[in-house]
Amino acid sequence: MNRIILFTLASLLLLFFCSSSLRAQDKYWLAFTDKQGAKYNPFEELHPDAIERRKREGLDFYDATDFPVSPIYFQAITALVDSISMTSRWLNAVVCFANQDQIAQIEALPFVAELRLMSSSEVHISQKEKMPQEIDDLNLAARYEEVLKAQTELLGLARFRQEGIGAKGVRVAVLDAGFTGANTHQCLQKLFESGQIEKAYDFVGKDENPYHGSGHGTAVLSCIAGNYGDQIMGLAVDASFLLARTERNFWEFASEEEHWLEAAEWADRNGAHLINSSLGYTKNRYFWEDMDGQTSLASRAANMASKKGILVLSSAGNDGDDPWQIIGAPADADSVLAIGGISPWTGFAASFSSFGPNAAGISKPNISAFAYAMCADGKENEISLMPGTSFASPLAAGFVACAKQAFPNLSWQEMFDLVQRSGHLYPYFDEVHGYGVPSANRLFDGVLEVDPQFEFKRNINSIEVLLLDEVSSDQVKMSEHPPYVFWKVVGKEGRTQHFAVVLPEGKLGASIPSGFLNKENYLQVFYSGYMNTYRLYDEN
Amino acid sequence: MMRISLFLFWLMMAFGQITAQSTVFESDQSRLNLKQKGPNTNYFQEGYLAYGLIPSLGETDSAQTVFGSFMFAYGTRGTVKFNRLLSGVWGLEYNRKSYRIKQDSLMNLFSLGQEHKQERFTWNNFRLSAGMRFQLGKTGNARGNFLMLMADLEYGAWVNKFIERKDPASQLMGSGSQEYRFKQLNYVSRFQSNLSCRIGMNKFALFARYRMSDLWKASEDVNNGRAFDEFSRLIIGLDLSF
Repeated sequence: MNRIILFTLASLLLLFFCSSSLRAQDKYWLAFTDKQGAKYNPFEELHPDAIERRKREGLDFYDATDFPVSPIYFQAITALVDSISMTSRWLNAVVCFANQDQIAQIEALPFVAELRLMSSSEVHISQKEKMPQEIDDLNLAARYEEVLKAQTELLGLARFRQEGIGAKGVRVAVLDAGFTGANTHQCLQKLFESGQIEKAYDFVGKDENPYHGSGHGTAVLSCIAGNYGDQIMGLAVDASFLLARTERNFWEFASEEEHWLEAAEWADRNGAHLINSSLGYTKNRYFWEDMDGQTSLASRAANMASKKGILVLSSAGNDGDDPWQIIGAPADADSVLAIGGISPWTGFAASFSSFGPNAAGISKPNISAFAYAMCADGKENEISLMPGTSFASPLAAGFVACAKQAFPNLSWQEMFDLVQRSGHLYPYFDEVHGYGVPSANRLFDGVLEVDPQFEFKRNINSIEVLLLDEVSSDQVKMSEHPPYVFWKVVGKEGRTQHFAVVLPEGKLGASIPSGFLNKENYLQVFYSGYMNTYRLYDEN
Repeated sequence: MMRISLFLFWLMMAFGQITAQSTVFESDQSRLNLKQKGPNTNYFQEGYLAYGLIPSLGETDSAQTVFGSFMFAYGTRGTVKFNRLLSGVWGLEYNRKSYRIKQDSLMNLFSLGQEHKQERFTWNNFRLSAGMRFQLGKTGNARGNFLMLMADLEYGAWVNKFIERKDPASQLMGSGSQEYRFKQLNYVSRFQSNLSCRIGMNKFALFARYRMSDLWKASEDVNNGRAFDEFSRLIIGLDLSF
């Protein structure tokens, strides 16, 4: 009997250890030391808008990262490995399939700077699979129309219309899991008929048909520029688009992020001004500490896109209510505008919207938009309410595209800052709302000086925020921000320790337990456009 | 005491402050401290409880363990992450193994008025273990699915043999049965080595332990001139981490 048990255990162990080596071929990331022999003419390879963008950003037209990988090195690797699935100019690398013997030979080559095994994983898009409990009890059908109107009105549709702005001349690249039904959907018909869809490419299937695989991209596109009859679903109705399918829906090697990188380079060459990515890479592949904006391939690619003058928007993620909790890649990248999600019914963060900061301590998300939106449903040629920060990101992308038309000469960094300053909470920031929902009025008029709206009162065990005017009990429309008091306790190095949103009652804005405060931190309170700070040691 | 009372007073008042107002959203950012979270951090320590059954798989029929033999354990283990897929693990555990055996080793020593009820050995062990944890599939800030392979060394600090019999004398004393406890067993090998395997999902795991060493010293000959035969080497059970 003992022998049988021992044999079984040994066999299981052997099987486990051998399983990885049984796969004769693995996928490797292979970066080169330089670009020897590479030739490049930006005026032949780049769209005029890409040239213009480089000029505006003050970039070198012959930057080394724009050159293709070295043909000499490429040939040497091609001769050694079974196949090459991708090349990246920006990161001077190829992705190849090779076995252990081939890898041993590659490692010995003098021009190989980095060789890394790529792992397998599954796609993780930022759409909630089912409607969260928090809105189950609401009579949604009666309020669908209200959401449809409010999702753009809150961002300033009226002001953009008044200014005659619909993102004309702005090119938005949409990187997503697929655009099933987009080319036939009534909400997107105008975009196709008027030639606003300039290019489309499937980086998974390597063809020009991204209209399959998933309807997620169709819903996302409709939140940037769709229309339902006369009702606008996204603000950038006049923008032009590059559609890229970068995702598979099943288990695979880590090709999603490769495709993301390929698509971003493609978007750059084709003159994109913005990239919207409602995709997130989190627990299926990474650890918390990897969400530092520098580790994941998608984040590195997004950082490169920013260096080329493209403003990248990414959904913060839907992990706020699960153990992961924090934002995913590429929203973790410093240069990416990470979009959190708020609920249209409450006016504060949706329960699932992921939290910042990133693992390096950089404040995220940057701004917010509705995380429940009426979107084109690729399967039914209709619209439906969809939850997820996936839809907050394109709503914000529509806003940024309009801002781009309004201020065409701003660099990506200036635009990034301007959009943050347009947030309804600015200059207040917290780790789930960011600077709040941007609005066209703030974009054009700037942040106005606001008279003091409250004062602090120290009690024995709390600090009270007393409003100077009693809050109105009138019903707030979905397209307006409810009169909440936002407060946070800020500790060393500007890190938020605790934050909350309070609905004022009468003149009492909020009552914050003084136990939260010590000599090393302070309280910051925001209400109705006015922000003030309270420090315990001010009393001394 | 005064300080505790003041703190409790402050806590009650603070709680009252929080609940008196309509706080619609609140977040304690300290919970996002990486070091306080699960095994995907560089180092993670957890406690666990385990219960396993010892199947009736003696090496001969003469000393078969019977149903009801079990192991109960509690301990702590630390996980040191090497990379996304692999971690090193160490563990310290107290466990109690109770082998219920079929035989009546005192049958020739007592009067016929006694009736054998049950006989068992208990090992109270301290266990030091080391091994590897392989992350299967999902990672992230959850324990995820894993396979853990470990080797360990156990020291039996207290090893006892119990024999329970129905005895006319004990019945006279108002007791249903009488238990004999045998301590300082010089025929027992106190150091044991095992191989173990845990396969689990999040906080729950199935485990199997296989004893590599023998329970008895080969040189000792007890049990009425007959050495005990080896008990079942396998333990299969469930454990819960916390």
